[in-house]
Amino acid sequence: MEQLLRNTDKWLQGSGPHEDIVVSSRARYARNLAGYPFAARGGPARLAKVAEAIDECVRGNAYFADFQKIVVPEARPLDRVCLKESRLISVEVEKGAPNQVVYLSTQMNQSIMVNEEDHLRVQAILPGLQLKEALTLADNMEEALGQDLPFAFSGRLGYLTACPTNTGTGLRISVMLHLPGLVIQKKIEEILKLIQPFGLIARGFYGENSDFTGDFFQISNEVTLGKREEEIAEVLSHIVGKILEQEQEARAGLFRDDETRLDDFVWRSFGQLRFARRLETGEAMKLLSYIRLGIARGYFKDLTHKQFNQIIVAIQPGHLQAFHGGDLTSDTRDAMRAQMLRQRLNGCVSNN
Amino acid sequence: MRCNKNPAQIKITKINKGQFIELALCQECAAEESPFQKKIMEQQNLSALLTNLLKNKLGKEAAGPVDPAAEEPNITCPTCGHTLDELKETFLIGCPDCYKTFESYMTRLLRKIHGNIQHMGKMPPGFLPELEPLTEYESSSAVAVSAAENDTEPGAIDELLEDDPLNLADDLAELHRQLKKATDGDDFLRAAQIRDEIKALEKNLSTD
Repeated sequence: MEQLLRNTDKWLQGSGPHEDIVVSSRARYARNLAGYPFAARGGPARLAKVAEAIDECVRGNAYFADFQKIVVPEARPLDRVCLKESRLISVEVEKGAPNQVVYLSTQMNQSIMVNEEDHLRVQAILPGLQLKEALTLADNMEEALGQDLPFAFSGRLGYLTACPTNTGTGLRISVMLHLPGLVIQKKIEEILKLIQPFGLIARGFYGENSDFTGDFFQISNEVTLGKREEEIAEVLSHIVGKILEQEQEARAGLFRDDETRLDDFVWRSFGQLRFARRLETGEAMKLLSYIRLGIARGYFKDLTHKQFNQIIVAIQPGHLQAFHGGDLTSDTRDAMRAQMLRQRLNGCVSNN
Repeated sequence: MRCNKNPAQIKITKINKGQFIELALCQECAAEESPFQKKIMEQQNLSALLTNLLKNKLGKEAAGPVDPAAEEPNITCPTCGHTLDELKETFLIGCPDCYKTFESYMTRLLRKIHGNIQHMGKMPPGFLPELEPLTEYESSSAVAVSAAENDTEPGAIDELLEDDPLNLADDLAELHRQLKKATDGDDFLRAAQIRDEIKALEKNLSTD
């Protein structure tokens, strides 16, 4: 498990296109076994059988040979928090319940959750804009499982899921975007209203019911029934492409039209991050948003967009505690976060 | 208080010439005072906007049929014991059979969420669509179509019968007889197939 804690963001160490704006791309399928009640109505005995059937399938399939198995009720709470912060498990599984299991690939970019809201949630996550690649990985996992496990399915309604928002393809495909330029230009509301007719929805950094902390936006499909999987991916891809262009223009435009003001924001934020002694997560993320703009302008050396994306995860509470080897109070965490950022940004200023 | 308009909700501490000054401000004045506060407010407004948009959408779905008197009774799924009330409350389904048990509610709900409620995506390996019986919803539309076609007013068929050298009209009549037999006998799958054949045949007749 020690190994595990330090590796949960392994997938973030890879590179992907447009990582200055797109932090990650994710594809997830929801499936249930035919003949069993869903998680909400399934008693422990039946859910145990579900977990058993899935385990047999996973162990017997070469595709999952290198996957690591984690029995959620037996996992340390800190492990679960880190897995959630790295986006490998959901908040539901982080809370933990009997008969929940997670299987993780060695690259930490593929995960299978058992007995979350649905019996099965298979997910692939990749850095940058790699929607098609993430979908392919998720497809592969789903097909490998589907060879041996009978899924609850109706020709008319598609795959049957615990929540009607997932019925049909059971596919949720999403990207995490960082849009400080559009936020400063106050163009975000337009963009968000624009995506609705395409069956897309925007959520904050922490998922459902969260604020848009740090100017991060998760765009995902809302509709899962009545479209083919490739269509859903194409629509999201297309819209994300448009938002990308807008953000790039916004970033360039801000500096073109109001350089001094923007520089002031960037350097003030840098100043605080370099010298503050206490930083809450939300506050740190707000300050870091301006640093992103600074990176885009070439103000910082030894600080790439990829590293920025890693830092955002490293400052989350679970990761901080894991890094320092144990539970910390909120005040101590805030002090450590500030220290981590002071050290990380020391000597970062480019000499140009 | 600064504007003397709105109640103070936020306290901002500033340092001016080495002295602490505490300001009690309303949301708007606070936003003016501090760029941080402004950003927080903008984000809160944004997420509130989105939450409301979502709630309104889902609220309309959950409201069910337009005529409240037509509310369906609180039925229970025989397989898992989930009730319709529980479904409406939790937005969660109990088991795969619930989709059939609560069919009319599910159909409306799925249509509101997704629009098109015919699955177009992947299927499990070896799934044979023809073998699956039509749901009540599908079969009721089959009955509606066949009922219309059995109307006695002079219809397209009579007109077609007038100039039909190949006697396809006989086939057509036979098909209509079979259609009635199938729907009377609740064989809706067969009924749907016959309907398709009738359509194809009528198309042939009309282009001759």
